[in-house]
Amino acid sequence: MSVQFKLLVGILFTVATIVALAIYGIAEDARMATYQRNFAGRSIQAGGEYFERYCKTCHGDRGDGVPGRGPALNRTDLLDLKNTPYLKLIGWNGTTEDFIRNTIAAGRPQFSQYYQDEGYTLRMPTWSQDYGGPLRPDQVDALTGFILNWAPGENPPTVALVTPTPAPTRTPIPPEQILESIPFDVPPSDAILATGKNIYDNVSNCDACHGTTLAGDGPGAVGLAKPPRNFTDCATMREFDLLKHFDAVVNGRLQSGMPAFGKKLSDEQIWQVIMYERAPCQLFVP
Amino acid sequence: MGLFNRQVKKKTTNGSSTTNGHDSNGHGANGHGEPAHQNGDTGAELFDVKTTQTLPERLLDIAREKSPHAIKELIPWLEKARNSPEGRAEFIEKTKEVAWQQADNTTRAVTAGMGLADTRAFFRGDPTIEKPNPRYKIHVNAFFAHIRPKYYEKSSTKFSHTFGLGYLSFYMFMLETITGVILMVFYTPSDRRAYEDIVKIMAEVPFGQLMRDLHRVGAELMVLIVVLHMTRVFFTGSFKPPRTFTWLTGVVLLILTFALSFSGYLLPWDQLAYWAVTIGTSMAKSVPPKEIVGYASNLIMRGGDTINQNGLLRFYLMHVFALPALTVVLISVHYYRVARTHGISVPAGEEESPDPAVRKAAKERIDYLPELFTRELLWASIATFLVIVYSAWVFHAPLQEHSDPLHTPLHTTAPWYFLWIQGLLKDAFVLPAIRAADYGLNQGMIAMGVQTAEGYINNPLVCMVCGYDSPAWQGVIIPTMIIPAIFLGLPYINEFWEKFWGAKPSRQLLKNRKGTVLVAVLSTIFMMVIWYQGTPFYGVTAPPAVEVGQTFIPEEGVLPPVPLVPDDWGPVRRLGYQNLIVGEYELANFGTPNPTDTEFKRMLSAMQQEIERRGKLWEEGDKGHGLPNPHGTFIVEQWQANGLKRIELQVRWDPKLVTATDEGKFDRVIFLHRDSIYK
Repeated sequence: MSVQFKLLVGILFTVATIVALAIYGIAEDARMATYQRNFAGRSIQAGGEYFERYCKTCHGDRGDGVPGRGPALNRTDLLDLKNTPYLKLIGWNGTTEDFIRNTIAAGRPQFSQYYQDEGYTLRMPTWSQDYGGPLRPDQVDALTGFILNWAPGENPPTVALVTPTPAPTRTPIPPEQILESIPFDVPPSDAILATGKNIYDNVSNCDACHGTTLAGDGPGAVGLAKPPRNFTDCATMREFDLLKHFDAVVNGRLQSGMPAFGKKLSDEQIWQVIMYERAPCQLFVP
Repeated sequence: MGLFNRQVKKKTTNGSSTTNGHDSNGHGANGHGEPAHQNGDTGAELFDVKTTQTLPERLLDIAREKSPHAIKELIPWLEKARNSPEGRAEFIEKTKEVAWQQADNTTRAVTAGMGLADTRAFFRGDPTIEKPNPRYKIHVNAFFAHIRPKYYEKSSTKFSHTFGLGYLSFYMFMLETITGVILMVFYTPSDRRAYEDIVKIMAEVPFGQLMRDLHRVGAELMVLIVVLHMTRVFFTGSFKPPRTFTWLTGVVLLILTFALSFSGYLLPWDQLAYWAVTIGTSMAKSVPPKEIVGYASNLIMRGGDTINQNGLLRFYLMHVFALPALTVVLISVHYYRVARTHGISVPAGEEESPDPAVRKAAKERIDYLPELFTRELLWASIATFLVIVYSAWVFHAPLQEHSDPLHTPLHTTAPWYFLWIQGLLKDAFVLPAIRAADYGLNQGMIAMGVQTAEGYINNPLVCMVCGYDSPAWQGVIIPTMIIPAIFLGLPYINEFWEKFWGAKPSRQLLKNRKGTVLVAVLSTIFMMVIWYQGTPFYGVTAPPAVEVGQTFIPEEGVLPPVPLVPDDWGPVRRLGYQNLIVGEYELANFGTPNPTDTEFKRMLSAMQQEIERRGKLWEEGDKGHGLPNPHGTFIVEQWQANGLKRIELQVRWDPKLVTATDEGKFDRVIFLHRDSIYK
């Protein structure tokens, strides 16, 4: 090969390389846009998988909520990004995305006032590794993307949305009239205790924290700063009179995380639960 | 053309200045303050006002006096040109001469020694004009040229002898360096950001994906070419004296190439990276003695018990600093020996030819400049074109899901160039042999009545398997023996062997080297066998239903066991969101494929056929790969109206037949988004 031939072919290939790069470069903007969508899509896919693994037990298969466990996520008032009625109501000034990401990442240290009427017994745990949870930041982002990808109201929630109502005003019970205010005979009959157990186990899900054996060892008790009351410990139960017990169920205990059931349960139901809870120590009278 | 062929005489510039009367005084008067009496044209004259002069004349005189040297030189020439046609012609001629001189000097500076005429001859492939050869001057004056030899022996530059593999290895190293530095700009070695940064490089950096693909293609090619280079050197016998030490540095470079490629494997921080490197580093755990060396080397490499932020940073620094620096040093040593000590070998047949004419012709000199220099440029331009086109439109570097230390994807494999070690780790030869020997010994001892069946188990005195550490032997000791011991020692062993037998050393393949070549070919075949054993096709025992799922919906993109082939995400993802039609499909209904079927239905048929095959295998008695009475369902659900489908493959079979606790069900679920690309 002569030097000139080598140079000529070399120049041809160099020009061809430049042309190839130019052709590639022309399509580069479109390709980058496609890839951005591609990776956003993959992130949503991953979010779907994480949702199945971590979230669906409480928030439902398709984010439609599980009664007594977790509220629906796939909701018009949350995912309506223009009006965000829910966020306005709770006074959140950031974006919906930030709200969802922060909620997943940090969880909920307190029960939501908004959901008081729906009576959830478990609080949202922290998920991000930043706050001691199991998920990496990209997983939290993927979940956020997945949740935001629902069209508002796509899957109607199984739990009907309840607009918060102001707490009913209950007239405080004077200590001397406490026995009169109980709508059944004490000590209670077995039927009443059975009704109380049903409310305890299935309606109000007290067992989530207080345990099915009333010993205060339910799954929700893990991680609570103050352990839930152990109803089988008669020494402490003797200190805990009927009036205090009634007040705790009606109004909840903000410091310890005990939710308020005053709006959800009637007075009669509350007394039935209380009787069931006090049955291990037989402390039915003041 | 006449301009270029002009003979250049160095002194002409100074000579021409004698025609200029103003020249000699310029420096004297202004530069040193010495009056130049011979012309009477001194600075003092400025103040010697001659009344006969008009003001403009005086100003003109002063201007002439004060103008710079070059202008003073120019003025008489301009005057001549203004006054006569001959003067004009003379002026043009002078201009050409000065311009030529300037261009010539500039070229000499740029080319480090060649004048304009010689530069032209250089690019035309003509012989040199000036004497001594100015092209050799470049080898003395210029740094990069001084590294290269002035000339090669003609036969050593034959393409069929070297295939340019050494040059191409270095080309790939440079390609990796350039693309690597560009990628470094956008990359952070942090377990939280690394994956995100790779995504950004691919989706937000213009030409970012191309850079990444080039880096990957270059890496695979570099390993391939270095291995081929070594093979070539072996078969042409070029490792023999005086090139023994060069071979040794070359083997170190081979190991460095592996290390460079492998350390880069971790940086994308995806599942592929994480688990391939976990396999690789876990071999270090088995370095005997395990409790000290194995433990320490694993800890040093990973920066912890598992690979984490520390490990990533360590691999990054190895990849971008330590290993490249070492490689540059080794390349320098390796190349210095080739360029200065012994040169590239000439084909053995010519070197050892009985005909002196052939020997002489083989060693005929061929200058590096311009013959081989232009050849290298040509190769570089072709190689650049090919790798760019290949990475732009054919091959894309794989990126799997974000690394997850809690989840090992099925069929994790090492990169293709380490599959032979993975094959060794499956221990297909030594362990069965020891087991068989053990069994024989055991039976013998029982027959003789000195041992009972129970007493034999776990008795290290007689049980060879109990004392055999498979990962240490197969993952560390044997590979260590193969690479450094055999490769490094090869030329020295060879030299010793020839001296021992008193054989006449020869580099020719079929002369005195038949044994060596036979051993090499057998070793290559053995390497291919263990390389095959490293792939998931050999000896991996995932439950059969999982394998069905993996065939159609792999957990991650499946990396082929060969270089330069893109990864494959399986038929379902390849089909894509649009082509997966929502519905629940009993696969039994799709058993016989119809030529008019859509691609989707053909895929369902393929699934059914695979499931039926598993059923048949069971009936034939292959309990490891078959399933009793299997049937499958493929479900596509519109999971979110906004472009997300949930895809589920359910395989069901008769429970409790495979194992006692077998539930007889397997589900593989994935989600597929409208925008995601898996092609």
